[in-house]
Amino acid sequence: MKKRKSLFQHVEPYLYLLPAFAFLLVFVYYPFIKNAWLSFHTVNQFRLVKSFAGLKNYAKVLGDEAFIQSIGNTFIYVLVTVPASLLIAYLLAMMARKTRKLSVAYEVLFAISMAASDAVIAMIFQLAYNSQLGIINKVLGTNIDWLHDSRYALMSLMFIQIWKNIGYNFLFMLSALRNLSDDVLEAARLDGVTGWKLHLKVIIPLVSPMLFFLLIKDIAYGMTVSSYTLILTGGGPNNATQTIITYIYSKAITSTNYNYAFAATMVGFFISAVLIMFSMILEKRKVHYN
Amino acid sequence: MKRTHVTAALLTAAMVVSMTACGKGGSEGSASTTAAGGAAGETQASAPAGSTEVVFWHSYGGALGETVQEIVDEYNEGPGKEKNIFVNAVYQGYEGTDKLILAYQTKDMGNACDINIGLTSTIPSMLELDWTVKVSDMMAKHPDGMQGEDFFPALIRSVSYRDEIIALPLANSTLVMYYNVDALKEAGFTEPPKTLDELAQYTEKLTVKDGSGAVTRYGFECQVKRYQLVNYISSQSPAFFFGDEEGGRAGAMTKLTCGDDKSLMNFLTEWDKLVQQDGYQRVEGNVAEEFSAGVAAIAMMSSSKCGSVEGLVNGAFEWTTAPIPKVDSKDTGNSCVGGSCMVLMNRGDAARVDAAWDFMQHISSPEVQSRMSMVSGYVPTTPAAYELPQMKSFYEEHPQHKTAVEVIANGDLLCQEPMDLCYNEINGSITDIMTQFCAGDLSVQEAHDKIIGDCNQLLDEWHEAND
Amino acid sequence: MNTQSVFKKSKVKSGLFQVFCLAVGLVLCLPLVYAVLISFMQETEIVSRDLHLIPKHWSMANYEAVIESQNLLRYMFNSLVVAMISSFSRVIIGCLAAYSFAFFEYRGKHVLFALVVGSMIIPPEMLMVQNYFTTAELGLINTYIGMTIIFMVSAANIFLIRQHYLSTSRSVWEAAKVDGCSNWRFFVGILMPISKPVIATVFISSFVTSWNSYLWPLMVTNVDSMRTVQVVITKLNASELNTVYGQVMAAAVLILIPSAIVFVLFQRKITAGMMAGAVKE
Repeated sequence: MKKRKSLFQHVEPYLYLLPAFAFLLVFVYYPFIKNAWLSFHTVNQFRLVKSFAGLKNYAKVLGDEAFIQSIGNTFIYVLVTVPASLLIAYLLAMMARKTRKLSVAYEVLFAISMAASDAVIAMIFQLAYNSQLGIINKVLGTNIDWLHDSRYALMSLMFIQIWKNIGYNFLFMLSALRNLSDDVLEAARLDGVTGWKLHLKVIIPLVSPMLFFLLIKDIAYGMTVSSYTLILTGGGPNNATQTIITYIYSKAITSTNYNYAFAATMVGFFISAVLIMFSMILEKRKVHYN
Repeated sequence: MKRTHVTAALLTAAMVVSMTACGKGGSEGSASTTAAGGAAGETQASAPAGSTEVVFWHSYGGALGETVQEIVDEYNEGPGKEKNIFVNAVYQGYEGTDKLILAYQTKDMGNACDINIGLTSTIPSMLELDWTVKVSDMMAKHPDGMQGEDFFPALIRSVSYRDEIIALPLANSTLVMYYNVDALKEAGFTEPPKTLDELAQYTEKLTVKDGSGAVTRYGFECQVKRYQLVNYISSQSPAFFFGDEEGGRAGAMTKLTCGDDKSLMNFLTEWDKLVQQDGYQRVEGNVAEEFSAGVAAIAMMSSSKCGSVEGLVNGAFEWTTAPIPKVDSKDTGNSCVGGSCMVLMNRGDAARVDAAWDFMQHISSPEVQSRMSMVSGYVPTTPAAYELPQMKSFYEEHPQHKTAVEVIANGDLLCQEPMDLCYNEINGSITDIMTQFCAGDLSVQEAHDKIIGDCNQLLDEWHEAND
Repeated sequence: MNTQSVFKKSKVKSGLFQVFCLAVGLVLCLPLVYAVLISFMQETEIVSRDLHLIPKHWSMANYEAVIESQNLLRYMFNSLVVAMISSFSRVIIGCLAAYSFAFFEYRGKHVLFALVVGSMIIPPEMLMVQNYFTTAELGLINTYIGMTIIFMVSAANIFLIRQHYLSTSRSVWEAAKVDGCSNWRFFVGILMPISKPVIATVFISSFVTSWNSYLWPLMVTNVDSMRTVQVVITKLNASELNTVYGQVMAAAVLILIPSAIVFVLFQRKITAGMMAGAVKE
């Protein structure tokens, strides 16, 4: 008894997508494809094509020690900051899940880090991390040059990133947890599911759509974030904090050497795409929509 | 229910605000596009009708930024008004030059500027834009106006390329040594160190450690990057250049020459003596703040930090400046001129170019130069400004400011920052190598070869892409 | 009624627990507290080497200097306009696209969705120069539209709204279909109203993101009257001279206030709204 769909019905879902794709096409995909095309050419400082270069730019960039190191650093960066901030945010959201008298106060405190801009946060930590004048060494009684010692620099930047992500992740996690009905939790409790099993078997699957979103968002963000590194260390010392995107930034924006930058962008995009694809597979298997 | 109403009301109110504002933005936008190419009038500043507007992009924040704005306002009220010129000063940060290039590439004259402040090292790139008007042409066109001789010769050379004056110097400085006079006295020194060898000895004596052996005061703090390194090449002899073509000033630099004349090797060998000292702080966090807090007894910084250090120390101890210690006591060069310059643009209107040139001369006038200099630490650009009575008494009260201006006034004009085309990448490369060298991970020879090799490769790649 | 939660205990325990939460919250806010304290210190005090957090003399000098020297009100207005335009655009365009992804079946849907997610991993910095060319060609340099144009759509928001629709509204959709409700009426009349919490979330995050955006607005504006608040920070932090931490922190605090207000106002809507939505279902 299926009615034949009218032309409008065929077209309708695409119409809803139209505004979004209009902007994505013009301001994301068009410039991206242009970059991709330019990555196979030698271009000058004004981005004008000089000659066809084939894979030469890719060979150069993959032969650059600093770039290889930046890939490693990016992996560390993502693998540490994403789970850490998700976990902390999850714990905070569990703490705050039930509304109490003071809820409003501590919820805001938990989430406020997302309201501060990267430039502001970087300035705060630049002073806090200073080896002689900063609060951190003064309190800990240490004499560590947090941002300029290659043993600590990446760790120090990751700490800021985790702190920054907590606010955003907390807020979204909280809204997901508050959406859970108490009946479900009670039922689980009656079944004798408690402790970490309750979280793992009941709560996490129930909030998995939100978790999945945050995971993808954090990975994408982690792969493309650059502000703290650029403001605080510029990728140094000795590339200890260089990530793929700061490498690209320093080549493209700072040095107008687009030959390395375009090729590096494509490599970075490919790596991110693989990570996101893995997460998408995870969605198929682990994410439950009601 | 109530809550949802509040949200809805807020959203609607916000929507209304944004839509009206949006309409306003749109109309401003269309005004500026129609004006593009001609005499644009897109700004809020009240350029009086009929006057010629000069758009002046600068990079000065903080106290100097305020002073520059005052200078512009006064010009608009005084000489500008008489000549029917209105200057519109816009802060662009360090992106001014990049934005000018972007505007050029999109042929967006209306949204470009008439005067841009950029680092002198960007002069070769600016010459690629056919909007750029060479200052030497303006000087020839206006023989009654300011001429090259009015400026310090070293500063004129800093803005020249292939013997033509391209821009006018503004906000220039040089590398100087800052030292804590009290700390030196305590350690028995009445004179600052004259050579790197002496500096190493001073560093040892000036370093203070606590019971556990941890350093509580460094004898010396300075991270060697491109800026410091090129200063040490030029300080050895005016005949030594960082790269060929007189450091890129007589033509495009193609390779480093500081290896051939041994100047790099000499420097690294002497600097190695400092590397042996644990009282040498080899990485800089906030060097001006640290020196001012007494963290390091001696530091090497641009002379432009004089003003800030003065404010930060605030009388807590006595300090002053001196020329940088030499690599060898027989060296004949000096630290080099660094800083920024004003580049003049032709946006298709000769009257505007002349108006902009008038303002460029105004900002170079002795009175204005002395004000900019006193608030910052940048040297005045003309001997006339240096001779002003207020400058003289200023230097008497603040002798720290005098070191730089004497280096620039009396130094050799060949001691200049190089125009090394891909200076950002060269800086990155030198910073990394010197960090490893100062950490003891590279020997003198290894650091030397790596600097030469890496920088030459960067220059080769630049030429391959841009020639 | 609401007794079953992970933490359920007596009133005293609840009180103690709330105090504990507040303490944790304060620890999390320490960097911002540090900034506030610094903003009241004089520069010589900031660079002193001994440990002290509380200003010896609470000085408003930094605030006065920032307000005096910067055209802060104008910048705030511009930032507000930019944030409003992009937040509304992101909500509306995001809801439409998510609606399509969550409730319809059609050819190419998975590919199109992958394209949306894929756009999240393209570093925006790399696109900026090309986007500048496009914006200039459209004649949008020095306009509000130009300043917001790359923020009009956020793939992350489309994604978030889709997740929300999928996990909360499918049953409503099925019911509406049985009732013969048209797609557009369902979207405007039912889906938008019951999605207020997620809309508020998207609105906050968009507002905060564009309020905090820096590079792009600076790139496409060449006149002071169109500048946004974040520029103040870089202006004060003109690295050629040295950083005036006191003033930078004072500016940081002033800039933080509007986004914090939006945040506090809407954040309550989200969590309250989420609960309401859950009960309704």
